[in-house]
Amino acid sequence: MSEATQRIPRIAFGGLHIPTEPPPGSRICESLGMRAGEAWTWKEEQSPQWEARQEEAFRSLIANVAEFFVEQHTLAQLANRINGLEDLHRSDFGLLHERVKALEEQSQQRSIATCINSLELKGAKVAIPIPVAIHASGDEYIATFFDANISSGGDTPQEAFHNLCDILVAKITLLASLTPEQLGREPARQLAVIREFVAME
Amino acid sequence: MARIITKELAVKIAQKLNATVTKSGAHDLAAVFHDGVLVASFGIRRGSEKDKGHDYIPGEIFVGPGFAKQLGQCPKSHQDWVEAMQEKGIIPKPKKEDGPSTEPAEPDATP
Repeated sequence: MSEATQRIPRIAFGGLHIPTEPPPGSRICESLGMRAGEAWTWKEEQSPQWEARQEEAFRSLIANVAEFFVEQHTLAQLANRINGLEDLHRSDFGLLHERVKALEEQSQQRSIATCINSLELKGAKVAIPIPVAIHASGDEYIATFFDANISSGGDTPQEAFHNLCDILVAKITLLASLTPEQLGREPARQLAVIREFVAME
Repeated sequence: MARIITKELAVKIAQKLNATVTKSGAHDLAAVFHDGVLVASFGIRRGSEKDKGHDYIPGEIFVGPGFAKQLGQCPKSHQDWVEAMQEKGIIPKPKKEDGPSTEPAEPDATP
């Protein structure tokens, strides 16, 4: 025990040894509405009201301490609840984010079914509309004539469709320019499929 | 889904397969011949953007996206592609030349 602590006079209260003077620099007196050095003088301890005032001060101190702990407990409970809500929100937002992403991907992957009704090819006429499926691939689109396994891409569904028409014309021109002996298994099949849809002179 | 086959790779695939490239509208048409027979053809979009998507090309050369990518990059060769096409029956397998049999003659069962 330090010398300063030893010098503080102490009194017995309910079996407890309470310092009659707060340690230097403490704010106990201020919290109790007392002026340090004046309210707790040895003289007052000797006064007739000393015991009553001491008890009152002690009760006030106990009440303040109790209030402090109640406040702390309430604050801790509130902090716990806020943490819980934050966790809940975080997980909810995570789930929502995943669902939105999945829906976006689903909407992107949706295919568009359309058909080619005309081709810019001299001597050729579309006899039966050519079925075309357009689907998203990343941030682009791929248009495919599945029967003939002919595809093309574009930045938009329209561009992919027009590019497919363009490549179809080029392929018809190429395939029609070759003799049957020059056509492999797949190109021969492609030409046969195309002839079912396109009437050529 | 990220782009697997870019325009740059599409051009490299055409080169690797010794394709004959002809200009047509908004596309270049790459025609792949093997022994004078057209085996496959695919369009390459025109434009300066090297990363334009060409993810439809693997289907048109009858391979998966991984194989097509490797074909454009390096690990797979023209011969690898030809062999894959022969396995699938798209290119006829070369006929074995008739020659002396290397298999040992079966021993005569009768004494």
